[in-house]
Amino acid sequence: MPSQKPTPEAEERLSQLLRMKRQERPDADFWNKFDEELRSKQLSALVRTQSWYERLGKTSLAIARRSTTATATVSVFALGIFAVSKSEYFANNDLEATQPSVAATNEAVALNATNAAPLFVVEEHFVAALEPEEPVFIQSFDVQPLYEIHTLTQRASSSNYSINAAPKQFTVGGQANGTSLGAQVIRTGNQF
Amino acid sequence: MLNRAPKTGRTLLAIIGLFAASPIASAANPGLGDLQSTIQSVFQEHSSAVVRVKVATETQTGNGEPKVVLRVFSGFFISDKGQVLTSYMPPSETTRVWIEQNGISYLADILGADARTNIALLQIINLPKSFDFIELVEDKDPQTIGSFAFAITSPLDFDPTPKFGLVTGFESHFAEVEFPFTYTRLSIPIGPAEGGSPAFDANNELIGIVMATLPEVNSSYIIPTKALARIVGQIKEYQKVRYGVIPISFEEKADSYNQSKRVLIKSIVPGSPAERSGLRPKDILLSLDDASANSLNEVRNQIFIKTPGDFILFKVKRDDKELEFAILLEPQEDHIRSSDTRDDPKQQ
Repeated sequence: MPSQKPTPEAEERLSQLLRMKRQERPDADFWNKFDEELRSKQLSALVRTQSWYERLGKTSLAIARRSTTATATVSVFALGIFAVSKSEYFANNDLEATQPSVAATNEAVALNATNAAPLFVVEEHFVAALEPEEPVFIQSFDVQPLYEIHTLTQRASSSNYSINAAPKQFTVGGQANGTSLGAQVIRTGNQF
Repeated sequence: MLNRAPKTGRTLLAIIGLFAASPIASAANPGLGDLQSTIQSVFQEHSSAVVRVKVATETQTGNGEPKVVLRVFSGFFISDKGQVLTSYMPPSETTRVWIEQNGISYLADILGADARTNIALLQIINLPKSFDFIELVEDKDPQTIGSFAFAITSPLDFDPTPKFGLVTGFESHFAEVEFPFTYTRLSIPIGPAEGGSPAFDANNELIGIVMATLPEVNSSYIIPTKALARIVGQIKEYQKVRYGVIPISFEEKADSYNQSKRVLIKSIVPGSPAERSGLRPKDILLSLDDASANSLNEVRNQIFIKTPGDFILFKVKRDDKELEFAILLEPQEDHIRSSDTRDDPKQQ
């Protein structure tokens, strides 16, 4: 292949181009970006990224090592509180201590009602749920109880045996009214 | 119960006297000391499970004024979850229910009720700190007549009270009143507020719940434990008891030839599946689902334990031939009224 010697014009254009390239300088942004990329590449080459569970485990271990004394102290306290709360003495006082409003409500109900009125033992939230709906019923609970028993008897019918459709009712105060369906009426008097 | 007390006392004394004097009894049972120990044992073991049940119902007087009716029954815990069995109360008409134990009241909900057997199942809302319960043994065998029976009741406003008597009979009807199954009759007088009490045998096991009193004979009927367990199961599932109805009327007759009893078909509801199946009046019942059906007690027990919608295999005897028919146990709500039954023409 025959060598070609550049012409003087071509040599002049090349030297001008080189001169232009030597004068080119990157701006400041370029150098900033270049620095950041270089730093991040260096860090990633030096440090291996840990997975989340590795990090969690190591963190837990570190906390446990540093707080051994505190953890033991808190555990002893918790066990002590649990043991005392389950004791008979603490359990008996629990209702009075934590539910004074319930006890007061029950006493009020008992005072307003007859001897047969109930002393309800209910939780506070239950009282709150029921009382707005039926306060009048509890306050006006002044009735004589009817002691009932279902009776199978022949006296109900002149011709044959029959079963009472409704249970026979007995009252404390004396003989019940109405015709006997067969069961004997119990006279209990006013006190028993 | 004051005017009945002397008669009841005589009856109990007679039972005790007979028991003590009987050579058989004294041979099989060491004596009254053991009877007393058994009564005490039953009472001590189960009395804390017995409660008083109070039911308040709001009604109106004739003048239209509001009125509260308070009714009292006995009852007993049947589970550690605070379920209580007691006498029937209509759930829709009941304003409030509670039990009383050791002077303290506990509110309850009605889980379900059955008027026919006089049973209601309650759920106590806030349980007592401690209570016992009486287990329902589903496969509890029936007692033999003459066995000792014990009850713990809550009469009037008294504390739980022990009673004792004998198992005196098994009936599935009282004159013309038909029961859904066989009740056990006890010679234990039951008075006001004692319905819903538990009854036990000498092994301290529940034999039933008191459902009615028989005042003329100082006795009572209990629902046996096996049937009770089924009733409780149905109430828990359906809030009621689902009865099945066979549209057939049966009658029990003495069989003088075999010196036994037998059950005949008396009548069949016209147009019912049972009639279309081919059964006829005067057919003699041999078995139901291969189980003995020689008495009305057995027939009613067999029908009661089936589920509505099931078929029951009737084996009958007709003119010296044995025939089999599968009869549908109709749900009670679908049943045609039995007043339309067609009787055997020869009987009329």
